Parts: sequence; C-alpha cells; structure tokens
Amino acid sequence: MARREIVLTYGEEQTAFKFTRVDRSKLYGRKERVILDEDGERCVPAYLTHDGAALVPPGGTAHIYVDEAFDTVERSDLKAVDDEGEPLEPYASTLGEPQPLTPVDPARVLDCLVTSVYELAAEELGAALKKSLDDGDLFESVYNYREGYDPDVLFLLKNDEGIFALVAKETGFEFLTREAPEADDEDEDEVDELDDDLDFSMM
Amino acid sequence: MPRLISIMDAKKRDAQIEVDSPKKKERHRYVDPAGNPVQHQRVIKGTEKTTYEALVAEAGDPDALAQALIDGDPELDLDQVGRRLAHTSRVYLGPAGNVLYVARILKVVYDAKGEEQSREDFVDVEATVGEELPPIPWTGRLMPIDTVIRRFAFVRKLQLRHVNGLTFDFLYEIAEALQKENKLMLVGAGKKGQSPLIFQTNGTPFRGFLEGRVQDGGYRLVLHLSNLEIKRVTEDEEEAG
Repeated sequence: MARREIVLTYGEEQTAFKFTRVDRSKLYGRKERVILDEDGERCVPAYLTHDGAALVPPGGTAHIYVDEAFDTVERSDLKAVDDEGEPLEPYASTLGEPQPLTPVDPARVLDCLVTSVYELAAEELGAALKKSLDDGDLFESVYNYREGYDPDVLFLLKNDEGIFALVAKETGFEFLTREAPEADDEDEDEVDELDDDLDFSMM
Repeated sequence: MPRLISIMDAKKRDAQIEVDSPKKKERHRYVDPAGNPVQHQRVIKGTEKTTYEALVAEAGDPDALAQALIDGDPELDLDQVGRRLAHTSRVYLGPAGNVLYVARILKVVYDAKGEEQSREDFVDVEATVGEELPPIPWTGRLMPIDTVIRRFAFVRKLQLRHVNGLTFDFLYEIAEALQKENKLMLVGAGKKGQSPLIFQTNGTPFRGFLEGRVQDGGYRLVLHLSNLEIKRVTEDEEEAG
C-alpha cells in the first residue's frame, strides 16, 4: 500500500500521507439533470452524425492516433518529443517515492490552477514538519499521479480542518503591456475552461 | 476564444474587457516511430445498432446472440465503424434506442451521502456575468491571500485583459490598487456583488477573488474562481486512503 501514499521529505524527516480526494459531491451533495421520455423512462445522450447516417450511443467512440496518411499508430508505438523534436523520458509516478518539500510564499499558489484537493492523513507526522505547518508555513513539491510527461505542482498546507495537498498546474498568465492587448485567437492549444461548462452541481 | 465581460473599479466606473483562460501548456507531443507527427482522432466504435440491447433484440435472446457472435461479427457496424466523429448533434436515446423528440427534464438533488433529496422540473439558471450583463461591482471586501488560499480551492482562473488603451489604464489601476493592499478582493454578481458568478446559462456558479499585480509598466489581473472549500471529507474516526 506504500505505493498509494504521498511521501514528502522535510530536512531529514520523511512523512508518508494517505490521501482522500476532496470533491464537491462529498461536501455538498450534487445535482443531476435527468432526461425522461414520455413514459417516464430515463434516456441517454448520443451523437448524431451530420449526415444522419449514424447514432452513436455512450461508449460508442474510440480515441486513436493516426499518421499523415490516416493510418492508425498504436499507442505503444508513440514516442514523446519536445518542441525541438528531441525524445523525452517520462517522469515516474511520485506516489510512494519521497519528494522534497520547498517552503513557498502564499502568493505562489495564485500562480497555479488547482486540479485536485486531497485530504491527507499521516501515521506519523515529522516533528519539524508538524511545527512548520502549525506555524502556517506552506510548501511546494512535485507530484505525478502516474508516469507521464507533465508533472504537477503539489502544495502542502494546514488549515483549521486538517492537512491538505493541492495538486495544481501553472497558469502561465503573463504581465500585459499596453502594446500587447490581443489574445491569440489562433492558438489551438487554448483551453476555455468555461466553454461547454454544464456542471449542474450548483451551489 | 476570449469573451467579454464588464467590471467596475473603485470609482464606480465600468468597462467592457476580455477574459481569457489559462493556455494548456504541455511540454511534449507525440510522433510515430519514424518521428513523423501524429494526430489524435475520435472515431466511431459502435452505433445504436450494435448496443447489447439492440443485438439481443435482433438475435432474439442472449443465447442466440452468443451464437451469432461466434458465427459472425454482428457487433460491427461496418458502414460506420472507424468513421471520424466530427460536426455531430446531441440527441437523446430512449430505452429502445429510439431518438427522443419530446423530453421531460428533471433536476435531481442528492445529499453528500448520495441519497436522493428531491426531484423537480429543471429550470435554466441564467448567466450572471457576460457581455450584455451588468458589470461585476467593486465590493471593496479585501481578504488576506494566506487566508483565502487555505479556505478555497481555485479551480478556474480568468485573466482580465484590456481591449484598448483606455481599458489598459482602467485595468492597470485596479491591479495597482490591489497590489498595494496585498490582498484579494471578494467579488460576485449582482448590485452588491453577493451573487455567484455564472458565465453561461446553466454554468457552474463560482465565488470570485480578484488579484492584481503590476510590474515594469505591465499589469496582471486575475479572477480566481472557486466552488470548493478546503474541508475534510472523511469522518474523524475513519482512516483516509
């Protein structure tokens, strides 16, 4: 089970945390939009192709990679490269692997977008780390749930409720000057977080 | 694509400006074994004719379907499988796989234990922030950064961007004022800024915290959005894991 723990080092101390994801449904419950037919039977969403030839029910799609000739490339054959085309080595999962903690200023958290919140529980919290957290210190570490190429940032903090980890990604927001008012409309990598935002678990 | 919203400053002046989400920045891309670029595609794997229910109905019963699967490939809709899925319309299918033309939409509420609490007809919740909607008011409710980041998880962020020279000055001044205070300003919709920020019909309601920084003649004004408090979800006696 050690593999499932977040292990952090502070000075000479090492602390292993079990973690539980904090999500809205566990805190507040949730709201669901249910579609019923005329007989009161529950219905499911599906895709209708533009030519009307196919109805694709849930589970009816597959995600594949294709080359320039539209031939399928197996995932196991894919190679990850950087912007210059140089091969990249994946980062291993950090679960179960000790990661050093670095103290950070609270404003550092504002530079990142939180993707997950974990409630942490340590069998034995290191004395120095406990004191620092009690004093209100905030820490940063590297976090990678599974092997991959883009590790996340993990913030460790304590509040009145307990000890938590915030898993986050850099926003990359830059300072804007008078000369550069335009956002890049052509950027295909842009993620509009509010587009197609149909979360019905409202406050 | 950036969208427009209106916001008010401390002098009660409002202006229409752009908001932009974080760019997805991945340090890697995939290539094939020869180093040539590859594209991710979503394709059709099955259709309404190849669901389990449809196949059982076609075969007569599950045993007959099992035999049909041994004898052939009824689960493959060869006219459609492998087609690239693009430009689709959203429809709803009934239990028999039929397209729904008349629907009743319900809102079902569950508590934190997953138990149903109520169900009623769904009513659209309109956006509270947008191009044609009143500005986000200046509340003046400042909170220390250290307090806020320990209480709320910022799960969405929007950068406020100027659209011309006038709005550059407008936003720069807001950012400068907030930096001087070194605090975040709690913002919301409505006249007093007490309503949740909702950016599109039936969108997620958020609480907003405005952060401003200035540097070398530039500014960075970010609206941090949260719908999640940083709270325990396990019982005291329960072990996390």
